[in-house]
Amino acid sequence: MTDRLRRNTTPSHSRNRYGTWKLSSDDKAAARQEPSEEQRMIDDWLNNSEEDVRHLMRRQWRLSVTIALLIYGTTIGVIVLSFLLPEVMGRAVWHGFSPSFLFAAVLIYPFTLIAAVVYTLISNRLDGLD
Amino acid sequence: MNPPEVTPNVPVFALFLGLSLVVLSILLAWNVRKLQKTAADYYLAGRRIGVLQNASAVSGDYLSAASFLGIAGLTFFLGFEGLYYAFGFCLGFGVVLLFIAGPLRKFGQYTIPDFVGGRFHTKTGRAVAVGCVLVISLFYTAPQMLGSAKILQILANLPYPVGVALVAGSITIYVVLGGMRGATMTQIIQFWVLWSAIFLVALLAWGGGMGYGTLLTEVGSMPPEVAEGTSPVSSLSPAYLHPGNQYSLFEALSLVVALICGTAGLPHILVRFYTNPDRSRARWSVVLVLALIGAFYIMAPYIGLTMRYLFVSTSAGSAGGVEGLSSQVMGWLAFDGQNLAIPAAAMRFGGQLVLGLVVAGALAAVLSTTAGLLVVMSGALGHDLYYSLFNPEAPERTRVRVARLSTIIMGLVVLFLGLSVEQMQIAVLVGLAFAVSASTLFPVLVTGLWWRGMTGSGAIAGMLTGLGSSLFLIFAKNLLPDILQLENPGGISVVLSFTAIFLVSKVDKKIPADVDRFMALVHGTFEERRVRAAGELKARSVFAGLRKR
Repeated sequence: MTDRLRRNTTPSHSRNRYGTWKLSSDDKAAARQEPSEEQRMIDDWLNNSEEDVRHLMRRQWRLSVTIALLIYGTTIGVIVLSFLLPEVMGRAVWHGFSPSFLFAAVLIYPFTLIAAVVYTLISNRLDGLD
Repeated sequence: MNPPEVTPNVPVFALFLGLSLVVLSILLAWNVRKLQKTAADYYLAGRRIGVLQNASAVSGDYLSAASFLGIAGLTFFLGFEGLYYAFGFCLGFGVVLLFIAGPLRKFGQYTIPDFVGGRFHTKTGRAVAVGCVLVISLFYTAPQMLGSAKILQILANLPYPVGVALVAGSITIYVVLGGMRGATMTQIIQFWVLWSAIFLVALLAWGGGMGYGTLLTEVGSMPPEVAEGTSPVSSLSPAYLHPGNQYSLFEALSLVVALICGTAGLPHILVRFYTNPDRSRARWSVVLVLALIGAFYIMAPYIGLTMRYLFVSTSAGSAGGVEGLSSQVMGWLAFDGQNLAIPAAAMRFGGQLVLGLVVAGALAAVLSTTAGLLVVMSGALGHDLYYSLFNPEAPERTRVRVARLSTIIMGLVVLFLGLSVEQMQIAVLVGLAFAVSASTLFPVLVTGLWWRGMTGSGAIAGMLTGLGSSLFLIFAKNLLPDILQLENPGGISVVLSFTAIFLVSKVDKKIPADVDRFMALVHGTFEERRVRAAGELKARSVFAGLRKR
């Protein structure tokens, strides 16, 4: 990660015959200068990288698991209830639809879509992408 | 049973549309052939595919003949239990969105074996992943070939081998020319053709007095004996609109888990998220896919149910207030209602013209899915085997050449595979692909992306356990006790695979040294923040310059 971030900001190096870094005069001049504002910001983030990543991962994981439980818990719940309570789940309740048929054939799709939109909005906000 | 007699004028418009689609695909691919300058161009369309484009292409890639013809057919045949397939297929994208799409895009390589190789630094693991990708893709390609050749056989009287050769040949040509970019462009068009076809049929059925609720009430109130002895298709049982006919609770859960996890492990779907420019757009692409295919999976079972109602009531000589089915359409449904419910509905509600569009839609489904699979298989061969394992120093031009050669080789494999599966059942092949996908790549991806403690040996053990157990549970089904003889054993093999990954990783303990670095790469936001900061700094300097003036 560090290498990837620094790729465009650090000067090119070559090794001398003793295996140590050999700096050009431009590199030495650049090293004496104060780091740029961008470089300082990058360094700040890199100093906290490990903690940041773990924190972000935990929050993303919790969000994913919560939404997954909502979608798949409901779906599996409806299947199980259809087997355990066939009378209740199989009775026509709305325009000929039984609760199990209404959920499995129609409602499951907008339900999943809404959950997916909510997830994406929150997830992108956590990542700072939106 | 012999194929039903078909009137000679059926295929003309259908063949015209189908042929136009193939020619258009080849022309589009020809148009972009010179843009394939690097391996990223060939395999990933230069990673510049936008949200709507990628969502359409993913949907086209995913909605195969099994979905286009099979979902309506399964609802026609099984009733409520056909819905398991519809929502199982769709909900798989939920898992992709929640656990895979974002981090995988951030990883940003070329193929799924790249993930295994890059995460665990194991050549054996990469090779096993290549094997899994090829097994899944070939098992998924076989039913596409079988289905398309059968459609051409029934509706256009083309001999089976000619149908296979036509489909395999045309797909190979446009993938060789256009790579992922060409495949994407054609998949977008093909998706909208098939989506429009099913939308039109559903709209015509609804306009023809087939309200969903009315239909359910009518079907629910039909006496079970109404169609007995009238056709080879079983009559309406009292439980047609309820679960428990064909599958027990355990079987139903195993099937749904296999379909959900299987979708989330299909390599030709996952690789498409590498084509988005960034993680946010990869996520939004999945959301849009859920909207597009969700609408599709609402319409397909509705059409199946409509045809079931018309079929049974026509058989009994009482189609209520609506016109019954012609003898030709009855013949199709009696011959193969599981696959021909959509063409039969098109013929009943729209005549030759809509039937033509539906046949073109079915062909589009086959072409788009097989093209995606061909890109993935050529990636496994050209990128993962040739470039990553044997010649990492190969220049870009050589890599593109090898990619094209790999596509031709895999095209030939697909051709011979298609010719050899004529007597096999489509459902078995599709089930196999999903079971293997759910038990091999899916567990490795999810655990690899989220669990730091996973090791290379764990990944290999998980893939091998999943592959072995899913193949065993399908092919040695008759040797197993009743409780394990499942329609799709993915629900069991996926658990075995996760268990193997966990146990072997715990015993092995050789966690890759750069695991923190990997997690920072796939979950961190440094790059996005750096880009944003660079943009802000640039904007600040521009404003400062303006102020000085």
